[in-house]
Amino acid sequence: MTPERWRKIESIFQTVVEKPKPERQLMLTQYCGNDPDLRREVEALLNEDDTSDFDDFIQAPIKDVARSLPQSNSDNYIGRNIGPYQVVKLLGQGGMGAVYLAERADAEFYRQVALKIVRRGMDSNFVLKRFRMERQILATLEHPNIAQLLDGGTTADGLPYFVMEYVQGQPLTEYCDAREISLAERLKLFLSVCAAVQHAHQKLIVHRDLKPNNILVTADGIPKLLDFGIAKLLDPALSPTPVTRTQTSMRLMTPDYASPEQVRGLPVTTASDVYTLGVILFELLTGARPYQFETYSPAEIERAICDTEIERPSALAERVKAESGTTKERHSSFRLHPSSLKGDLDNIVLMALRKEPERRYQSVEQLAEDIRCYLQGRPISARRESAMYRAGKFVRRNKLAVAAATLVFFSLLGGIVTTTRAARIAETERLRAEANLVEAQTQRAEADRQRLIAEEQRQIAEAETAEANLQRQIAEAQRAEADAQRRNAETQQERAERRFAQVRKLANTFLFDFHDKIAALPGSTEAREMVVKTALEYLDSLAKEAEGDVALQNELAAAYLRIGDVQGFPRQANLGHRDAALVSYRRSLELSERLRAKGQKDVALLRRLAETYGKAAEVARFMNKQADAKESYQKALVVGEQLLDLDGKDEVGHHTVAMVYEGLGNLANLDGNNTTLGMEYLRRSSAAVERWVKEVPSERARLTLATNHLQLGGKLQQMGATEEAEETLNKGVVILSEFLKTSPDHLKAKSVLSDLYSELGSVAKAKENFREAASHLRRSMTMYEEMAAQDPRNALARLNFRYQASRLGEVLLDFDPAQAVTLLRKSLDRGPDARPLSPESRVHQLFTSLNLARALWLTGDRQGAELIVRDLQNLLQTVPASKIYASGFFTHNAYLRIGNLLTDMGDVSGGLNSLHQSLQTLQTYIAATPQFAAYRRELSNCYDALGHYHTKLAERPGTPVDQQAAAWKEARSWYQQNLAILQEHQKHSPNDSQSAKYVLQASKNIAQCESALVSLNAKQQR
Amino acid sequence: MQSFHEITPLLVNWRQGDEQALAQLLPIVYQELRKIADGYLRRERSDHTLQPTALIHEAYMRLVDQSLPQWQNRAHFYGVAAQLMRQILVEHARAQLAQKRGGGAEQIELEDALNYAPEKAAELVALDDALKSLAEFDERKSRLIELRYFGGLSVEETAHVMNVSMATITREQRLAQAWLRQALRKN
Repeated sequence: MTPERWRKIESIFQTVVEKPKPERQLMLTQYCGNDPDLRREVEALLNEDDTSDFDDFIQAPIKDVARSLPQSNSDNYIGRNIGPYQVVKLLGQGGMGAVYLAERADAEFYRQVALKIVRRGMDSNFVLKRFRMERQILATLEHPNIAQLLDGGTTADGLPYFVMEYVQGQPLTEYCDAREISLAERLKLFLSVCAAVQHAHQKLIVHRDLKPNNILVTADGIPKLLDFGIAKLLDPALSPTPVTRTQTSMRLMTPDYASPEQVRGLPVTTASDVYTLGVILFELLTGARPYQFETYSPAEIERAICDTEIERPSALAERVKAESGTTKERHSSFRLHPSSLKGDLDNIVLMALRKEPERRYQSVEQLAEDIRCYLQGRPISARRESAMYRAGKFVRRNKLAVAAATLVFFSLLGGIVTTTRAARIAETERLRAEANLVEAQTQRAEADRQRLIAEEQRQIAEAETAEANLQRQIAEAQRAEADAQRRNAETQQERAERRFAQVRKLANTFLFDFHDKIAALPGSTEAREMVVKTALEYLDSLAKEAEGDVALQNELAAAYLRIGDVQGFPRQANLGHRDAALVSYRRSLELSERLRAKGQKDVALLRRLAETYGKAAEVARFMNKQADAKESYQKALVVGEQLLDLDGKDEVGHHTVAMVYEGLGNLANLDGNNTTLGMEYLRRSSAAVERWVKEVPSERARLTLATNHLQLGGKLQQMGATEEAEETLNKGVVILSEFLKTSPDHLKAKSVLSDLYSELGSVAKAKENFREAASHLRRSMTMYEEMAAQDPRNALARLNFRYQASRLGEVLLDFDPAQAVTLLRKSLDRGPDARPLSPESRVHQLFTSLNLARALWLTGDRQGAELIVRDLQNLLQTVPASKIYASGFFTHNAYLRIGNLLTDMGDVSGGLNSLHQSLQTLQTYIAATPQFAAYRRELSNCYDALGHYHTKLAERPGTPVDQQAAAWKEARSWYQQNLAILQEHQKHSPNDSQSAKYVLQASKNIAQCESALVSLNAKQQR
Repeated sequence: MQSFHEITPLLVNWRQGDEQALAQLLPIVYQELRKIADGYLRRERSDHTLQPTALIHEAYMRLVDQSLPQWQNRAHFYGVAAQLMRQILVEHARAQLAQKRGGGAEQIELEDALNYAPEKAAELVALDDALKSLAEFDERKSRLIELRYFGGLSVEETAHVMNVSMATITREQRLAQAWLRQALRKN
């Protein structure tokens, strides 16, 4: 069975298994075609697929074996004999086996031993091999400080075991603490341990898992080394089988004592044991280990052991003493004097703990020798690592990473800096950091030199008397000063190093962690979010240090602006994090303003300010933070005008001014009572763009003008000024038609033109010139259809196409319902972009569906219509009203239209319910939204609809007279309410040329009701 | 007695894919599972079915330092333990079979005999072999069965660990079972 065949089988199986049995045969024939074997295999599996008793055959064996697990006593040796030894008790469990206390009693002697045996169930080849290796190793070792191998053998079952001297004692560190062993004595014990390890090294055996728990000290005070379990045989001749790299993997040892090369999986040498001994010595002297791990994650371990510098033992002891009075973690009476650790012992320990094996003691013997020297007061060989060295290795390691990181980073931010500039910045960074380091190094060297001088002088002074005292004091002062200088140098160096660490983190992050994500960057939201997050961290940390660096501040300001765009600027691909975007914009503004305050006045800075204020305003407006938006707009305006003062042809200036007025206009429109102000702003915006086009008839200017006409025209149309709207929109059409003659493929121009046609359609509709409306809308729809076809990825074009199709369908409803059905269905077909609906889209879906329902009804498909209506009613129950711009009250409109449709279709009770629901919803919304400008118009719609409803009820054939009368009365009442509100509306919106018409209509309706009532009355009286 | 600090790095390493950490882990967890199971059986009498899940749960509580962030997701641990459990059980089953074939001169005590079920052991070994065969051309289904049965994960948990939908789990499990039944029947 190959994976490919299996996949075939699977896909057929999954398809067929869902179908009822009779259909299956047919499908099998269809899919298996001329492959009888395939068919057989699938059929066999289908047969097996029996849903009763379906998994007992899996569950049962598992349960049964599990149940039998614990009762197996085969591992319990206690009381039993293994070879000539009798097992007494369990001493401990290890990786591969257990260690028991056993006794040998025979004619010759009595002896207690430690018996190590592989555990049953663990007798895989791998484990057995290791076990035999350990036995082999121990056989070659013979030293008073190493637990002696005595015997070995194999049990009847073939399990190997070996027998060692039974060491009773305490782990080294515990022993020293419990008995409060002095410093000198500790060192002597340590020397014994060194001797043992050295012995093993001479036999070409590296222990690799030294730790205090493996070093027991007997009651006589003799340390013994145990557990060569993962020791490595360096001499291949000694190992039973070739020792492969994986077997000697570093991961088998305890991370607390591991050397950097072990952690990295590099070749392990005797120097690794030196390192580990260094850790043990560290622990013996200070009571703590050089690293404290929290999570033991491989990343943390590697970072700590391979990168982190170890604190000097004396420093640690001092710190701990200051914190708790005595050294922590140890017996309280044990007191280590940090001063006794200072100097030589510090250096010995640190030398053993150097990261690079070649810089440590080259043998355990050398380490032991230095300790002996110390104990005897002789000079030691260990030297402190020089500052130059430490700084140097930092720079060397990171040079490439820094440059690479900066380049990658800036290129990812997409075009803030060109490659050459990025290289320049990287270079500047590097130079700057290097300069810091060199400076620090020089200071350090200088400080060292001063110290040596001071040291010398001190020694001279000590030989003399009173004069000597004075001189000594001078020397002290100088040394103090040198120390201070050294500390200062360290801080600078620390800073430089920290900066490198940050950049290095960035380098690692980008180059290693996010490599794949970088590749997929365009369009991938997750990737962009990650990039943004890391970029922000980087920027924030740089910002802290940007004081005084003008170039850097400029760069940062620009970077924050771009980040803000990606985070939340609505007019481009963004992540939708509006608040975060505002924060980034603010950071950019702070930097830019600070530069401006310092006297910087270059055009680039002003342009950036204008852009940032403008964008911040837009985002604030998008979030309905009106006050903030206004403030930002006004600031942007000021900068825009400044730019134009400097240069009348500055396009950014023009654009800013125009955009600000437009934005202010939109803001004003939100505040419903201020439609005049809104219009005023819009006109000012028009004027600004016209000025722009005159100064610089660029492509951008003309496009903006056309867009402006679109917006102005739309607003005018909304306000009812249809003539002027039409005029304005046509101006836009003219501009773009010209434009497209020279640039026929300009996408933006085509979009705006389509939108202009769409608006013209609205205007025509309002004038009830439906033929013209249909023609405009069709033009718009076709243009979008073409754009979508040309670029399948252009989701916006597709969306707009569907939108126009919907509107065209709506217009054609009464004239050509069949075509309307087609168009509306096309509009509702979301096709491949089946992402969750945005509130705007949902509105569109809703109303289009409503229109479709009506169209279906008009073509005679009543059932289809009812189905849709039911679905919509369900939807309305569950979807809360959205509050974005004008779609905030779609709920009531939907109910209204459903009500109208139901009424038209003859469902009287349903219709009435819906209409009442509409009114209710609207009233609730009005109560909650006091600034809702168009409420009168909407209420009018509701009242009118209700009036219409009752009219129809009254006019229904067969209605008894008294019900007719009631209905007419209802109708009249509603129409009266309608008239009242329309008159109110007229007062407030004098520009609305349509309102007079509605008032007239309402009056007519009332009159109709009155006359109907009169005639009914007359009938009754007869 | 192993402390958290010795076990946790092993667990972490094993999660990173280090097989040898498993070799060290197995006996520790095995030991733990045995102890727990011992406790169970002393408390409850014969016909109480011992679910591997319960064992794993207790082992989890005992072995893993709850404060460490890696094991936030219990479902994940169970997923990992499922593999472990399978190994333990299969090893044990094979050992039982080996014993039956006359490996050692061990005295089998009466208590042992009550729970000593070589037929079931053979069935488990056969199941394990079948799963291995399945894994050769469809690793995912093998893993799915392992998670569901050896780890006792629910459909939802399995979906979570394997990062697919629940419907996928149900579908694939169905086919996997069909195939396994067929494979076992053949032997």
